Amino acid sequence: MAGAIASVGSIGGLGASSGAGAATGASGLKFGDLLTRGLDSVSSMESNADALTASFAAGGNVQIYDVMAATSKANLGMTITNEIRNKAIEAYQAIISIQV
Amino acid sequence: MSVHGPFSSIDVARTGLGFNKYWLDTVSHNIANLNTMSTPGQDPFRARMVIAMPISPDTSFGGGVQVAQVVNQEGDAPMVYAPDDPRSDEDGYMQGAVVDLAGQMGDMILASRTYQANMSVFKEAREALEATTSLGRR
Repeated sequence: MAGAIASVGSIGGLGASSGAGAATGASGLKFGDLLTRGLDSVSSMESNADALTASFAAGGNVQIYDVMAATSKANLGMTITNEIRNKAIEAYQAIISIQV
Repeated sequence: MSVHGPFSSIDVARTGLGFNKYWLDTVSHNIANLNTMSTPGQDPFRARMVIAMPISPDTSFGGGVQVAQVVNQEGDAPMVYAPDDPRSDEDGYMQGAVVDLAGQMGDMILASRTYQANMSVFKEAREALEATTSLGRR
């Protein structure tokens, strides 16, 4: 779980690094790669939440607050990734509408 | 100071929920055994007391609370006169449980209220994160 949290930390840095990378082209990472990485970490959080929910429903040794923490984190991770995607689309549309 | 993960406040509140749930479980165990008798000379039932210990906030986890240890309540067991009970000694006495019911009731309220306080922190942390994501919107 700590690994998933640490990798989501990279989403936090995603906006800044992709901004600099897009402007200078110095960073070798493409925005798509960063988004994929973000989605991967969200996906791992969701599968973790899924596993906990299933285990709780099956009467496993899982506490309800663990399930709630995992589902909340997965939900928030998804929201953050989606917001970043929206910003990227906005930027793309701003560029596409430039009159030459 | 170390950098905490984005969801550290949720994780910290979760440790609070876990600890106070454990405390409530323990209080419940103690009250359930209020009338657990034993023969004098044997170990009487003793109330279990949970001792809290902080988790260091100088990690990416962000701190929290954990169970340090569980100790038995000290003191003499009350003697109950019950000559008909097969567990009583030659003098007709049995020993009761070493449980301070009033103290357990106080602990129960404290554990339950602290659990609620941690739920508020959890909710507040989630709402703060949700509100922060909306900063990017126009």
